Amino acid sequence: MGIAVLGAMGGLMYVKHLQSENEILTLNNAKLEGAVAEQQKVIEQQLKDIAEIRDINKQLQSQNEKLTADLQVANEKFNKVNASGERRDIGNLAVSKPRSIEIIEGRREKQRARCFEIAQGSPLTEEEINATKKSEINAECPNIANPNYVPY
Amino acid sequence: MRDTVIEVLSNHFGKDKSFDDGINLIDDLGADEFDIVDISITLDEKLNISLDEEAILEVKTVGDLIQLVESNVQSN
Repeated sequence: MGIAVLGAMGGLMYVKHLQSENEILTLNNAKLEGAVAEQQKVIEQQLKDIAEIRDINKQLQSQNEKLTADLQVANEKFNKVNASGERRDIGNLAVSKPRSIEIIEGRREKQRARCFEIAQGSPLTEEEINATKKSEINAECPNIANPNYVPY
Repeated sequence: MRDTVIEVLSNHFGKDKSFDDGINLIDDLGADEFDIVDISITLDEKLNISLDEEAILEVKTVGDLIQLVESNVQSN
């Protein structure tokens, strides 16, 4: 009889212990599920960030390519090669003839300002419309300032 | 003097071009203002002169350039 009671008590304690362990495991499981959900959110956000970074990189690359092309055009324009194959160096010109370069830049600056005016809607003057020679055009933006000028 | 100017111009724009006095540097030879400054520096070095930096930008034709160089040589 005593043995049976002891056995029943032992069984009861074992069941209680199992219940207690089960509660702990359930709690841990809930915590883990919460952590997994959090991690999933973080991963989703990271994937979004990566996609955005890729887009920005693409845009930057595209802008960089445009700037490189513009720089090459400007380089060809300013440091052009003459008939003898010698490359003109604006820096050297500025050192040798600073006043001349200053005057040219002053003229170009006025032309650039006029380009902005035209771009903002200012009507073309008769002179601008009738310009057909290179010496008559606005060298900074002939495509908008001198509609009758055909590059030659 | 004329020969030196023509030689500098033909080195710059090509020997196949015409360099008559009435030829316009910008309209006929396709120069820009920087080309004219570049040419003036070459002439300064070749002829040991110093072309006026403002006057050089008033040059329109080959004849104008020759005249400016000649007056510069004479005044030196």
